[in-house]
Amino acid sequence: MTTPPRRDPVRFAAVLLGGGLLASWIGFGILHAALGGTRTLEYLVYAIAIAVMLAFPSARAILRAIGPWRAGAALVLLVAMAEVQASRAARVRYPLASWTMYSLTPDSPSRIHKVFLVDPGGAEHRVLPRDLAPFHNGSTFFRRLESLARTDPDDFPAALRAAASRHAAFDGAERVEWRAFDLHAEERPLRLEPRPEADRVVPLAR
Amino acid sequence: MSRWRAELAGRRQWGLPHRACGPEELGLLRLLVYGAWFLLFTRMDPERAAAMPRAMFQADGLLALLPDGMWDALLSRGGLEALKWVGLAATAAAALGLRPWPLAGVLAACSALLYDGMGKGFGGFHNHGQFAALAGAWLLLVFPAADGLALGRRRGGRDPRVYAAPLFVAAAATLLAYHFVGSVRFFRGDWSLLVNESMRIWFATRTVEYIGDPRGLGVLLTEHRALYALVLAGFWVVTAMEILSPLALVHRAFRWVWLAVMIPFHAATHFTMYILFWENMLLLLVVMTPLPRLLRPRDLREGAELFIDGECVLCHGVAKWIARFDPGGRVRIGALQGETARQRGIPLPQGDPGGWSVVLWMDGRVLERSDAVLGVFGVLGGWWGFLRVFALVPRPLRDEAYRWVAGRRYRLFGQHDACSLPSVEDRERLLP
Repeated sequence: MTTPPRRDPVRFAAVLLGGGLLASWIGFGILHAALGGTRTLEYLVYAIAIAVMLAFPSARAILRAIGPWRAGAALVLLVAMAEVQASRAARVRYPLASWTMYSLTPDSPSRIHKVFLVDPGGAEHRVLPRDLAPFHNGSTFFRRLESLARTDPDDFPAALRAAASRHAAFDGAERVEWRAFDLHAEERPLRLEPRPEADRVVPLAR
Repeated sequence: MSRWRAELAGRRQWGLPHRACGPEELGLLRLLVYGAWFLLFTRMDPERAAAMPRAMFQADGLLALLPDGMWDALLSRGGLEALKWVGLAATAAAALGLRPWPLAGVLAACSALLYDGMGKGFGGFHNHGQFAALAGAWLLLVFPAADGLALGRRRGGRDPRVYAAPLFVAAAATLLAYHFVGSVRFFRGDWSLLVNESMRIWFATRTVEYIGDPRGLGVLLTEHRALYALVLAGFWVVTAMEILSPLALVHRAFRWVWLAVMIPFHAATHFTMYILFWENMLLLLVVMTPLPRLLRPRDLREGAELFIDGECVLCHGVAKWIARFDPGGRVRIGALQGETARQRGIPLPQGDPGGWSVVLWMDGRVLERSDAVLGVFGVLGGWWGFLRVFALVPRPLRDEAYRWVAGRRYRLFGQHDACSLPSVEDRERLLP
């Protein structure tokens, strides 16, 4: 007489967690599709990495030790956070040849923006990106402003004015000027080619 | 070197960084995660953020599910002020481990998610700078994270794996974020990134835009062909490490290699691109290295006995200090001139006022000078245990510092001519 094989608790936990994970992922996938996007690669990347980690007995053992509700809740939270990151990455359009980081604007990777506050006497005060950003992401904020200028030119002056209002020199300034400098990477040493005329000039309310 | 190799070969290479923990180690993670968010909240400026045009804001991920009306309220001056102060209070309470846990944690994690979502929603900012800290803030909610290093009554006594699991999950979240960035860069971006001028442009852009100086380090680095080739090669290595990140969670040797690449990489990005992921660097030190183990009181097989120079050890400031921070009575105290010290074979001090005033007998080993002090810290555990990092300082230097303090101990800690009557607990701690 043979005894029936005992259920391997580790494998059982792994299947349970894997199933829960997959279900969560499908849920998020449907949710995201409902919001009108696709990001297969982002999901795949996370799924493969989690599968790799769960393939190790020590990782499975520690998850089993904490019990199913804690393990399940932790994995669902992990997936939810991953979803936030994947969502941000998927929102960005990727350039063909000069993709560097998520935040780099695809169609103008070699352009540097400078913002100047000009006082009534003509003196200029350079404003750095971090002076304008609402939190701590100045460089990408500049590009966001430029993107806004392209898509909705009417909103640009208001956006720039609102951003510049944070700068200490704003009170005495007459106008804010937005200038773009082309960065010539082909030549060494690297140099900026200044364009003296401002791309956009936004008068400030006195 | 050969001993190191032998030790490495003798150890199992497959294993998690923390398989069994005490509440203190988990408490450190809690303090770090919510403490990081507390610091980030201090930098929030509601007045400036409220001036932002609403048209520039775009919510990401699950935050996109929140109704527009709610965002309108949150992005108003009042909403942002409320978020800042709620965030500061909640993250401080969560960092300190106030009970009932995880009530403070839930509020802190929600505030952190909204704050993070706002910052990135305005800037179109996509990276993993605060991602691990955000994931950690949520993941800690389902674990008993307030059992150690918390204000108020201490708890403990759970399965050590329950304390180790959150460190594992937080490490997994951190490494997954790295894996994601590396994979998407490599597979969805363009391989030419790793050979073309993109990095050069990126260095220059960040340097010029952030410090306003076209001669900044980021630009200078890329003006020399050899240096730029080196940077690109380094970026290959970093990208490979990022893709292989999950392996660092389960393989010991690879974990150290990974840390040896990624920590300097983060430091380098600060000087060349003005990007500093300080939250990630701190988290990695806690979840990927044995550093938190310093907080755990050392397990004793035979006990710890501290012998102090002086006939009346209770008059000694060190004895009083130990009695205060060792309520469990794990460190017993005796005089160097006493019977127990003689039985342990500890010689009497010979003239040198700073050289021989404290000796620790611990599990059969005799520790002197600075080793004795660090040994006591280890037995006490908690924040005192953290001072064991000074063991990395060469012993001659440590001993010199010890002699300096020991030589001035009466001036620094005072000398008592009369004893107060010892309590029952103090009497039990005393050795003949």
